[in-house]
Order: sequence, then structure tokens, then C-alpha cells
Amino acid sequence: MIRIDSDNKTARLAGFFYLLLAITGTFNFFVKEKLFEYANPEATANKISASLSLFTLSIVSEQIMATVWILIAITLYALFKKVSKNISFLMVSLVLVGGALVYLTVASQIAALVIVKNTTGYFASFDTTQIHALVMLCIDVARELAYANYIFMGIWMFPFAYLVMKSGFFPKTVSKIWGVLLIFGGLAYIIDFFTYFLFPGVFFHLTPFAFGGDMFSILWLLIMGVSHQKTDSA
Amino acid sequence: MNSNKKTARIAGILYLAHFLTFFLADNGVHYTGVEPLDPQALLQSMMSSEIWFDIGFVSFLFTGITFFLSAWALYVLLKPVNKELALLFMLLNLGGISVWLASMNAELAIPFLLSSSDVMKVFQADQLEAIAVVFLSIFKNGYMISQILLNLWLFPLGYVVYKSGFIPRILGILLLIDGVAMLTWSIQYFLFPGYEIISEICLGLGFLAEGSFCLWLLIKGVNDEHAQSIRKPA
Repeated sequence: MIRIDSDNKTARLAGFFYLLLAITGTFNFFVKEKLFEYANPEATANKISASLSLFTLSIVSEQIMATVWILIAITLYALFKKVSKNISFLMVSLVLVGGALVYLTVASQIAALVIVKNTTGYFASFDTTQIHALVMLCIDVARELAYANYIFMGIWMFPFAYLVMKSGFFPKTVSKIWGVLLIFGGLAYIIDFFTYFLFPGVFFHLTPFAFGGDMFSILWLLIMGVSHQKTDSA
Repeated sequence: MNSNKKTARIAGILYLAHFLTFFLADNGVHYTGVEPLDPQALLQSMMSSEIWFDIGFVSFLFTGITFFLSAWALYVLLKPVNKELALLFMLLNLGGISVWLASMNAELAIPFLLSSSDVMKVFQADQLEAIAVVFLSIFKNGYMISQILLNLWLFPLGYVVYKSGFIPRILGILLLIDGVAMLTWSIQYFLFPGYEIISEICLGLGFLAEGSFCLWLLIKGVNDEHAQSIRKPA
């Protein structure tokens, strides 16, 4: 009985981190939509220098996203390690690399921030248009890396789905739907990765429709918790 | 059950995928050999065909990912022999792969600098090429730094393979020699430029060791009765 209670706590903690990820992620998405105009360096640089604090907040939120993503994986590891230690370990490792790459996209954006803040300082010897181009370059590199990271944002969902379906922690139909949604989400990220890098002319992306698994994770981990449908997994 | 044999197969397949994507990337546009960096020539070959650049980037990303996944499978396979050392080689590999993928961030800037789009045209062509050379050097050196961790993982791996009893000892010894050889490569690259002939030999040794290890896992698998008898008391 005690074990089930502690499992429930772990699940709710993971759900809480997941909710934080959704909130910071949404915020980050809309700030980027507002500030960045790809292929228009002048507009982007001007918008960034006009709203420095918003841009800084977006950078902070992205760092929180990376941290929280890793915390989700570690909490899920604590929850699922009795289902399969090896698979849980694989999931955490993949998220560790993916999380590291998210921090790295932040680094490029901080470079843009440094340039914007020092236009009259040590960047004074550059023309304004050149400074704009450098800012755009940093933002572009950050976006490219974020797309490269789609691999890790997708691939960790497969061990996650496996653990959800194997665990017996959730009602049978729930774990089935949840698992399938996670697998779809993982595939969507990986397909979008290939589309972006190998077929840049295609603008149809699957990831906007791939949030079902994440919604399920938040809903079930945070609100419903673990119910141990089958005790035989113990 | 044949679960050990299956794990060995999976490790072998992933290791082979690692090799194949590596050669695809290297013959496309990447530069991972021992010769000192000739940036102009390399940039030219990189940008001569943008789709090859993209294919090279994607397959190099997968070189890293499949390498880590095979390290995970080897961890699962060799954990019963020595848990701590198996964890150590997997974590060294994970760290190396993170540095590797991080170094690829610098490479992502190159198409923006040298492509035909107007954004960066505010710089002169030779300025852009100079900036591209900086990014290329960051990429190359980051890759070489990641190789230090990816050499170190061979020592615990070689030792555990040697001790395992279900993989031929000669492969363990070869992996240990491989570790020394690859470390020599890194030291030569950073400290003794001009002695590339040493690294040629070292890379040859490394290819021999890791190639035969990969093929053994793939074709012969592991001696299963022996593996089971080790696993039992654990």
C-alpha cells in the first residue's frame, strides 16, 4: 500500500513537471512568433532590441523547458524503473542529450542578445545592416538546432510509450490510447525532422497535431495518478 | 531464452548502422579524417551541392545517435558482468555523443553564410568565408574533443568484454589496443600537427578492432550458455 502511495506521488510530480513544460513551452512559442521574422534581419533585430526584457524572458523560459524536460524523464525513471530498468534508463539518457541540445540553442540566442546589447560598444565598427545580419544568423542557427533536436524530442517517446503500455499502472484502454498517441507524437517529430532537412520545400508539418500524447501525460499523471490495474507487475 | 543473443544482435546492427552512416556522412561532405584542416577546399566541397550537405548532416547526426544506442545495448548485454564498469562506458559514450552533437551546431551556420540568400550579403564574400572557416574549425575541434570521451569509453568496454567469458577475449584486447590508438590520434591532432602518419595507422587499428567487434556481435552473437550461467547468480 505504501508503495502505491509513493508511486502516485511520483506520477503526480512528473505530471506537474509536464504541466510546467507545457506552460513555458507555450509562452516560449508565442514570444518567438512575436519577435522573430525569419529572412528579415532588420525587423528581427529591431524587435529584439525594442523588447529586450521579453527576449530575455523567452531565453529563461527555454532554459526552464530544458531543465523540466530532464526532470520529467528522471521522475518517470523513478516511476517506471520496476517495469524495465534498461528501457527507463534509455529514456533518461536520450532526454539528457536532447536537454543538453536545448541548452545549446539557448546559447546561440544569448549570443544574439550580446550583439544587440553591445551595438554601440565593441560592435560599433560594424554597419547596422551587418549587425542585423549577425543577429539573424544567431537566431537562424538556434532554430536549425531546435529542428535537429526534433530527433530527440521524438525518439524518447518510444521508450516512454513502451513503459506506459507495459506498466499496468493505468486502465487498459487508457494505456493503449496513451501509448499510441505517444508513438504517433514520436513519429511526427522524426518525420518533421526529415522533412525539414531533406525536403525543405515541403511546408506541411505533423508536430502541430502531435500534442495528444503530451496532453494525455499531463491529464493522467497529474490528475488521475497511478491506479495499479494489475498487481502482477509488482 | 535467447535474450542475450538478441541483445548482442541489436548492438551489432546499431554498430553497423553507426559505421554505414559515418561513411555516408564522410564521403558526402564531412571532414573527419586525419589530414589537417584545409578550410577553403572543404568549404567548396561542402557547398558544391546543398542536398549533399543536408544528407551529410543528417547521416552524421544518426552516426552519433546509433553509436549511443549501440552503447546502450552493450550496457544491457554486459551489465551482468560488471555493473559499475558497464555504466561507466555507457556514460562516457553519452558524454562523448553530447559533445559531438553540440559541435554540429557550429556546422549549421555554414549554409547561412555561404548560401545564395540575401541576408548575409551585407558582408563581403571573403569576410563571409572567413566567418565560415571559424565555424568550421569550431565544428572540427568540437568533434575531436568528443573523440577523447569516445576513446576513453573503449577502456572499460574492452575490459568488460575481456572479462565477460561469452565474447572472445581477443576482441576485448583489440578494443583496449583500439583505445590506446584512438587516444594517440587525439593527442597527435591537438599537440603534434604534422605527424598524421601516426594517426593513419591508429585509425586503421581502430577500424579493425571495432569492425571485427561489430561483425562478431552481428554474426556470431554471444555464447549463450555461458552468458546464462553468469546471469543466474546475479
